[in-house]
Amino acid sequence: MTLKEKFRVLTEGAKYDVSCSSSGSSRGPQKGKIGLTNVGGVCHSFTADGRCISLLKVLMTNNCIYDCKYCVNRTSADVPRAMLMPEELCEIVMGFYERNYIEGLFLSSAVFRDPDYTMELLLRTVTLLRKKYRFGGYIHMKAIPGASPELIEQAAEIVDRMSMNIELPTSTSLKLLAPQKKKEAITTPMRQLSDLYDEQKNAPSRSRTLIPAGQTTQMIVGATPDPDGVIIRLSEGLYRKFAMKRVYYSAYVPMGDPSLLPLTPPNLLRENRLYQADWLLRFYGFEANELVPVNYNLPSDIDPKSDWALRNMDKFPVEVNDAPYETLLRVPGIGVKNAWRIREARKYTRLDIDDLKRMRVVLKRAKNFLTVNGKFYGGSLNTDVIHSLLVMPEYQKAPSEQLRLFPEESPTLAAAHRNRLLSESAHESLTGEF
Amino acid sequence: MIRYTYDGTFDGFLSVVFYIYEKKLPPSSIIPDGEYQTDFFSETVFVPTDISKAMRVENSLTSKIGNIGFGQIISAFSCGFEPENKDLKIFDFIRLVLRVGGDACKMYHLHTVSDFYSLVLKTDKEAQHMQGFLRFKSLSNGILAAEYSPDNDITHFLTSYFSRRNSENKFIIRDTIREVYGLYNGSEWTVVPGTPQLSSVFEDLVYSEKELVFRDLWQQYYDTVSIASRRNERQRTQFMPRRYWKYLTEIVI
Repeated sequence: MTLKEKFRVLTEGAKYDVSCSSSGSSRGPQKGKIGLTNVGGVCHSFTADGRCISLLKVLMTNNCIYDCKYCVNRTSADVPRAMLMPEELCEIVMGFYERNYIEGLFLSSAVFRDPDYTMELLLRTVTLLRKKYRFGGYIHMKAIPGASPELIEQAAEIVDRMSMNIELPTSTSLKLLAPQKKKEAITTPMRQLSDLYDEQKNAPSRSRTLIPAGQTTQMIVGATPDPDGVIIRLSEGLYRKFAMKRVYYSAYVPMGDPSLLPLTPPNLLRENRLYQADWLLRFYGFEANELVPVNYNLPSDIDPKSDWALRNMDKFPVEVNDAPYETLLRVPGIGVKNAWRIREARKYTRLDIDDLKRMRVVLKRAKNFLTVNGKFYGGSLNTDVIHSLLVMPEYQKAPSEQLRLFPEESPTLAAAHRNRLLSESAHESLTGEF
Repeated sequence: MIRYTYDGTFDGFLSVVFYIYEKKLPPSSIIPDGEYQTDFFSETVFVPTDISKAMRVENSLTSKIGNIGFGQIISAFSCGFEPENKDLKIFDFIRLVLRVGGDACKMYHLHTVSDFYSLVLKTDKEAQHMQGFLRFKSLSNGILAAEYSPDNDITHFLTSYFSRRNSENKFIIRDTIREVYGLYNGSEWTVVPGTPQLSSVFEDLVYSEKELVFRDLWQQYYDTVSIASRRNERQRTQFMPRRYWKYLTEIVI
């Protein structure tokens, strides 16, 4: 196989990992190194599916000992197999970096031989890249579930960010679709990384060298019947307990074992709603309990913040000049930047509607939940009327089949799984663990 | 009311600000000399650039709004939009800063402030885009070369950025709209107006041996990493406007 062909196969195997962010680390130029990192990350291109390319996302190898049903690289999948040599990969990274194609490397791998062997291979590659090629840019490395803690810690000293994918939101789903993966193999290194990250929090900034950009994880959504309520509670737990930087959600793309998995196209709207809810948890002071009950999905026709507001109309409208910052954040249509600007500007004057327009506050949704200097500019205070006003035209034809995810061919399995899931997930989601 | 003209440089603009405060004669407009037709209804004054006066304005502004605030004034000045009104809008903002101090930066409800920030935003947004979208090609003589056609005058920002990002490679960046060049020789960077010698660099590009290999791998990567069943053209062009595509190595039109 030519290098070009190997590179294609290993790109193909890596592309379903969502994370491509190069943010969270800010290392200025260092003497004798090539490259730096930007705290906000840099997008270098956007592919035809509208996703950002920031890092070169590639597998070391797609030769896998596991047979996870959802995965494109599973043992039983009929795909060409390949492996890159550490030097080959380093050459590509440096060549791409100096042409400004990429911000760094996202290195992942299928589990080849055993977890430690694979982890050592990844470690050898990133060490070579840092030491011999003197690369100072961003490296995101996938930790291999089941790899020894020593290897994980060594890697954490070299790279900017590590991630371990949870893959499926409940252990029941994991047992069903990835029977060889144990949840402990995922949570133990997560715990280890969050402990390492915590330990150095109090250290002087110069000696804070372990994964400066923290850890992230990813869940596949829609491969199993786990509802949004369970998923969002799991995310909340991950943010609180493991100091996770990001949880990524990936709408299941049919590529797995078709006898066990849905063939429906990826539900991008559901993925989008989960991200909106995730943002509300991280930046807007919401708790999962306020957003969606455990065994339900988020509404598809309106965004989760509007949904919350409509269920809490007794709290609205609020006066833009007096409402506390935390309350402004809860007004549909007002984002973090707007809330901040309002808080600053109203120190100097009592804001009127024209002031808000000049400040680029989009009033389309917000006006239904605000009074501006005592005046209400919305159409109505009736919940149903506002609801109909908030439904985005492009979502009016949203697919309503979100819960029918298993194909008709395997009703027994699906039903059995669903029954187990509902009882177990209800318990698990209360603690935010899976 | 007086119509002020200057040599078009940032120091020249700050010299105008100094002059206006010194003479206490408010402007009806401020524009680079020779850019627009003379208007017969107001008096025109050409203000020569005086670095020491410009520095005094700079120091006074920095003491009130800090380096970040002053950086925003440079961003606004580099903005390529509204060439007839831009300088006057920046002047209005500076006048507010000199009157009320650092609070000016937070008075988002005022026309003066929102007009100023919309200039800043346009420049900063494109500069941020270009940190990612600029593409270098390696030439046979070991130099990296990049061309682009930005809406705003951001070559100084990019040249400084790339000299830090890749401090070991010499490079040249060409803004094809303004014909200005960012140069880095491996230790220092500068931005200079075009010369026949500089533009000839881009006329007959002789690539390094590896250039085509990496370009080929990158094009394949770009096509492969996209997920066909998630195709979303609208989102792609929203994040990466088509006017930038011309110089992107990965897009073969």
